Amino acid sequence: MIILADTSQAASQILQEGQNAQSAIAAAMDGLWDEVLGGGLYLALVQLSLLFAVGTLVLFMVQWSQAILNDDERKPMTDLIFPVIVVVLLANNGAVLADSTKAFRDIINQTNETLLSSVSASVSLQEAYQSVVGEIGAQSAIESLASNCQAIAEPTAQQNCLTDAAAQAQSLADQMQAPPSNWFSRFMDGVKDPVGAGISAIASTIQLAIRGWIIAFGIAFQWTVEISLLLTGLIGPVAVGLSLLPVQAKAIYSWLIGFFSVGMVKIYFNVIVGLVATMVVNAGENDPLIFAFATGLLSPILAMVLAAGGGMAIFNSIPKITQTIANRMPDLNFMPDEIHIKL
Amino acid sequence: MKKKLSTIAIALSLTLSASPALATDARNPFSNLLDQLNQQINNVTSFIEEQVSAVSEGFNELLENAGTDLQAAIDGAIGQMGIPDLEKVRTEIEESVGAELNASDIGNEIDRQVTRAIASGTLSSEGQEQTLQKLQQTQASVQQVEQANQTAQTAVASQDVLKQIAAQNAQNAAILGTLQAETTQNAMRADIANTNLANISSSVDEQKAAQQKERSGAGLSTLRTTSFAGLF
Repeated sequence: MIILADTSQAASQILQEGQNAQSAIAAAMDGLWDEVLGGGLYLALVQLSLLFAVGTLVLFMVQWSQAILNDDERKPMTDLIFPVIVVVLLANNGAVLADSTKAFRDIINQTNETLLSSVSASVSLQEAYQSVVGEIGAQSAIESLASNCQAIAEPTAQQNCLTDAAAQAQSLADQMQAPPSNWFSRFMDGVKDPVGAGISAIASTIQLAIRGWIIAFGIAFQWTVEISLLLTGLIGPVAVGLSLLPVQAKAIYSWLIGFFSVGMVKIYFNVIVGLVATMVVNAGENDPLIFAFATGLLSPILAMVLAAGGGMAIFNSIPKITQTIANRMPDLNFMPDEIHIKL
Repeated sequence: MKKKLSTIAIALSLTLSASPALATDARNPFSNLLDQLNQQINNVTSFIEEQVSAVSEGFNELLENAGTDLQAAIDGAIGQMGIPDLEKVRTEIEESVGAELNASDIGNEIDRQVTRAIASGTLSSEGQEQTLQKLQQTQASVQQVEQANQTAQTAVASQDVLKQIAAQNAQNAAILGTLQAETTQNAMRADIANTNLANISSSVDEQKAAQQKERSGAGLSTLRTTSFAGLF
């Protein structure tokens, strides 16, 4: 069985490489953050923002001086905070802003880590997900190996092939990081059983492929969320630079809310996927295709919807808070009529 | 094979051309028997030649239809009977097209065309006519051998008996010549059929291998994807 031998070796190699790659990508994300937030693009954006900031500062100063001349004391003193913030954040090529952005990311990541390592019942979200997905991958490889034996017409040769495939399945299962769960042990028993192997290892090529695609979709979503967070962080200087515009909604608020919304997508996704995996682990039963759909396809959509809902709610609430505060101050009647009507 | 057949034919006609002098001198009612035999030998020889040329004509048509590259490949591999050397054609096609492309498909198509050309030598209306003629000639030969036998029984002089035996030998040789031609053709047909069977067998194996690779590919790529999975 030369073909099977080759496949089994390839399988162990793939498993090893993939596990290394997974940690390499998580580590590469940190490097990417440092690279982008200290790179030429960020610098160029900071310089552009300085231009915006200087331009809007002139407008701000005109308004502020007007208010001073009108003996309006409260507004100018509170508003003077914004130019100070902008100057501090954008000074020294935006070093403070870059550091703050990384600090925000660290806050998100720490929350994320805490959630992932938190133990529900007996297993952490991270462990649950990795063991379930790892077992699905091993099961797919084993099924494809064993189902090749189905094509052999001669019964003795087929038995030999199945025995061989079972041995290779065992060697693949031994490389798994976590101890096998109930359903995986049952699957392995089925493969090793000379009579049942034919039944338990039936796999359709399309199902195997779809499983892979959907799980890949989920992983790709994780990658792009991380990149979206980075992209949002990258446009931070522009938001800061535009914050002196004399409008109600400050750009820096919108940016912060956007940043944390993306962070929420990430956290929501991890929690949803982790909980589904924990459910599977606790139940001891799994169907690879259902799990793939739940974690790979539906979780990203659900996480997006939840984060959009949450993020938009916060975003909408901030102008309202400002309005409420403003309404409590009787001498501040500078607001346009439209906003009054809306309130 | 063409050479061998013509050698047989020449040998037969030499034998027969030596005997007529004896037979005509014998003044028996079957004096024209040897003429008939001669004609039969000629018929057999021409039948074989026609068969060969019919097959060759089939190939000429095939060559006209084939592309120039193929034609070069087939031209380079035409054997002495006018039939392409199938192995040589296949190798040359693989060299010119590249084995990873559909070289084997083209090779299979050449094999099929050869098969059809050879089959049409027997199954076409001309081929059927020729087969019928050949059967009739063989039947005539057998009848003449029997007649010679009866004549020999009634003959008085032992010289007459010997002449009848000589005539019988000539007829037998003609029948043997036909048999030889048939056997050779049968061997060719069986080989062509075997070539096609080999083609089918390898195609089936290729299909099965492709299916297996697809399935293991799907399984292993899923394994690769899942080994990337982790929450971060």
